[in-house]
Amino acid sequence: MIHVQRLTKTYADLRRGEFVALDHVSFDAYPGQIYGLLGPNGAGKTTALRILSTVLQPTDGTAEINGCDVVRQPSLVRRQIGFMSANTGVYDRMTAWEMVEYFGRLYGLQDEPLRARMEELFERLQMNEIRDVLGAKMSTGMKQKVSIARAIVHDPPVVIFDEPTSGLDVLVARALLATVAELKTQGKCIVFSTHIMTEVEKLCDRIAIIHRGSLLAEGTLTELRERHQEHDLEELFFQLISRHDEQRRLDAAVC
Amino acid sequence: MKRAKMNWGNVRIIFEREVRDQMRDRRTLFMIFVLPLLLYPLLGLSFLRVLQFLQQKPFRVMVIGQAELPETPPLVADTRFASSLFDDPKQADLLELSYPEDNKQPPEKQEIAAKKMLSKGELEAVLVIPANFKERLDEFRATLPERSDAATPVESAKLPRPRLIFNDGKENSRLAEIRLQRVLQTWSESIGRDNLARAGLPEAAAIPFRIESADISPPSRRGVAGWSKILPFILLIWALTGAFYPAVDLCAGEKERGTLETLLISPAERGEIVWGKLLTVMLFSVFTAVLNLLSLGSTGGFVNSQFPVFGAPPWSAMVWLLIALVPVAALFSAVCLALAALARSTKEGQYYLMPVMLVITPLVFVTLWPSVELTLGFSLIPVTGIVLLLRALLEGEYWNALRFAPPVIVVTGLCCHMAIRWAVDQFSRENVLFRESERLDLRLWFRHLWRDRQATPSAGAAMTCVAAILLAQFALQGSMGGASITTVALCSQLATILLPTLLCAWFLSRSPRETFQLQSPKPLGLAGAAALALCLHPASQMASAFVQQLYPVPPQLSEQLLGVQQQLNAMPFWQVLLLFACLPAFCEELAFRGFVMSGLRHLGNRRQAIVISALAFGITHTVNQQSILATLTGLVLGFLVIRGGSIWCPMLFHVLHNSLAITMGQVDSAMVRSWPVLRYLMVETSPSKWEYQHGIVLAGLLAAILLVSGINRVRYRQTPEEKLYEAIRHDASSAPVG
Repeated sequence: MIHVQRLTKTYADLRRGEFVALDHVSFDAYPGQIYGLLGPNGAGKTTALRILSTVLQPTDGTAEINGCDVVRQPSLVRRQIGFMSANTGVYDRMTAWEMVEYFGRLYGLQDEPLRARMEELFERLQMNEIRDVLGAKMSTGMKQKVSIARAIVHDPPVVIFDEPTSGLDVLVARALLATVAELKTQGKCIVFSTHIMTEVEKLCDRIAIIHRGSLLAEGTLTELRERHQEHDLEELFFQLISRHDEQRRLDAAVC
Repeated sequence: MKRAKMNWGNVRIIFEREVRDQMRDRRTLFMIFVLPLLLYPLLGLSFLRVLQFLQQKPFRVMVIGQAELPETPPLVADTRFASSLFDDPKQADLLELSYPEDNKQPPEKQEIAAKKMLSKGELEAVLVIPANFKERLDEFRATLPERSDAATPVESAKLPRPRLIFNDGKENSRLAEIRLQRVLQTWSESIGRDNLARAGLPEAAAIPFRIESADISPPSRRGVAGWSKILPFILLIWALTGAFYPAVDLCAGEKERGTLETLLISPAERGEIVWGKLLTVMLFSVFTAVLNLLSLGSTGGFVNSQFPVFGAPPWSAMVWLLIALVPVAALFSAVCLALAALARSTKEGQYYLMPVMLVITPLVFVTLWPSVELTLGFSLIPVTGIVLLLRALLEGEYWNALRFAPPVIVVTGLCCHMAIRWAVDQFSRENVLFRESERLDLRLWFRHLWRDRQATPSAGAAMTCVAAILLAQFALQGSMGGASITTVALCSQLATILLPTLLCAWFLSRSPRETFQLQSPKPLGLAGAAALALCLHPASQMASAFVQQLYPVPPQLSEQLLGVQQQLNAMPFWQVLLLFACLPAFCEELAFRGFVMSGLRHLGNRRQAIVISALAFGITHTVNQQSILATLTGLVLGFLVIRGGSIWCPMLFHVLHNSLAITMGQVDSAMVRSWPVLRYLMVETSPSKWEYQHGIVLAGLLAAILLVSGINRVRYRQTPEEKLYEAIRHDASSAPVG
């Protein structure tokens, strides 16, 4: 479903020269699975997800969604994904209903099926109260709901969540995670990036730990625990990260 | 390559959303609807107020030496000038007279006191009637009856001159001086008439006839000339303003609010997003311009009914203005959209308005120059052409307008197309869409340029090189006065083109071989370039003659060029070829097809790289006529370097192109006599001026087209960006349309 092969992205950076945001990252994700990208801020998670959503192009490597290449077939890829980020991207001067309807129409849904789908979504996500509220007047939680509805209005096989819970209070975050879990039961292939360990433990079927653009470890939670002989995910995460940083320092010293 | 098919359904969805969004934005509504409706009536009202104030305010004038005034014809009557001196007697009230308080003081002292009052602003003007004025006038008049019988003219009156003292530094004083001059002129004329009567002569002796001017324009067209200059100007400025603010909100604003990324992830293609936004911006541009014109028109009509200045604005003009508005709005909208896409934030976007204004305003102002009229040359200049076409339509010169409408439409259409392509291109660039603000640190930036320079320069480096060449040319231009043609040629090539290019190459790229495309050429590539130069030569000669006909060289420049030609004639021929064929070919090719082209190819679109490098090549030629031809030649040269894969191909073309032009420029009747074969190729158009026959030009062009299509099949080495660009376009063309 999602096939990422040696994905690399470099930027020209004023201070650091060539900056590697993503360094030969490979992973696969399948339908009915939540694939977690775990990493601290600036690890390269957003870059990877932006490449998957076709708005950034990789410097090297390939990524395919349902067999469509993100570089060569971006329009086919965009039809098959729903993308939701921490930056909710809700229009200030549009109501919740108008916003979801707008994207539904862009995805080519006809009036009647779109209406039915939207009624269902608004009901399921408990958004009927904010149906006619303008984006500018919404709370962050409301915006996140609109953003989810917008991302899945066309019922895509792949849904990408980029740190969706950041800035949310516990109640809203919990509701959001429930929605993600529900999407999994519908057979969607979900990529979920976060830096919060508990979310990964609760939700994800497979995990990739990313730090400074490199994939440090990949597997199911059980696999990771066994491989690194550490039950506590947070400990495991810190061990991997510090080992990686230490290695980098040594490499730099040798150079 | 097949182009992506546009889904107009998506364009409509985006357009409808953007319009609704803008209509909910109070700032946009204010700029577009409220401001024009309020602005002109308010301006008109203030204008009327100011006008009333100006017209009613009397100016204070002190008259010194009132006793020296003759009784007839009267100049003053108490505190006013004699009402007989004004067309409208009421105007006498606009000049308030006063006299020195102390009559016994000598006039010199009175004058000093009056001047003090003048500089303090207590007076607007002082009129000094010199001593003995009346006496001398009377003496003169007494001699007049005798003069009618005199056989010889008697000496003139030698009247002392009245003096008018005013303060040029003060606006009111200057206005008072103008009014006073008019009054005194009338008074002087009436003294003259009086004198003629005393001498028994008719008035016609001094003023034998008066000029009568007749205006044949129908009443509806009177005053159109003024409006025909103002209305297109207003139209353009407001079409631009109306496009600019929504464009900034729809691009930079969306970036700032984080909604642009969401839209880019939707299935809408980049082209559809741009078109949806473009149509929105266009709609607002048209609305703003129309509202402004309507508001200005009705205010102008009202003001005019009170104080006729131009005559009423011609309402029929609205139709022409509306028709012209559509392409103008399309052009401005596309330019604004592309620029706004560059901006990271609304604030940054707003800073871009000034540069756009700076480019567009001179193009509009050039039309206000008295000698500038709608000709083929001017109709080919973007924006200027539209303004002149509109002016011709407003002035009722329909035939002229019709003749030049096609070139104006073609040029405007082309510009629109290019601007829209640019905008779409901006939306496809991740470095434009995801630019992040960095603190400006020049030291860091220079270090980054040096440390991270690649084998070939970046597109930005290419444009920097062009700017460096232009700056060097500008700096050298002033210091070359009086230098010989050899020095000028050497300096202009080596110092202003080669040196900046080499410096840029050293600082901004790593591999001279790749940057300057120094790979050895394929023999077939060289042969193709040489053949193309030969085939295109007659057409280029014809194009040169055509350009000179279209944009005649001004006489002063023509004289200078003649001087250059004379110097060239005195030089050995091989030296001329070396200086004007080989040297420019070497320097300019290294610069434009080498450095600039290598940089621009990183943009991914090779055609765009060819066009931009050709334009850069064009503008670095100092004579405008040369610039046009150089741009055209630059297109061929750019094509040759890409397909030939080596700088030597365009360099060979350049040497041959210039050598042939220099040689054929010397063909005269004597040369034709010694080379009879020339008779088959050329025809004498004017005495001793020989040009290629049309058949030869056509045959050359056909052969060139065949050659180009042949060379176009040659595989060339693509840059990674070009490969990616092609892949994306291939995908876009094969994507299903939902």
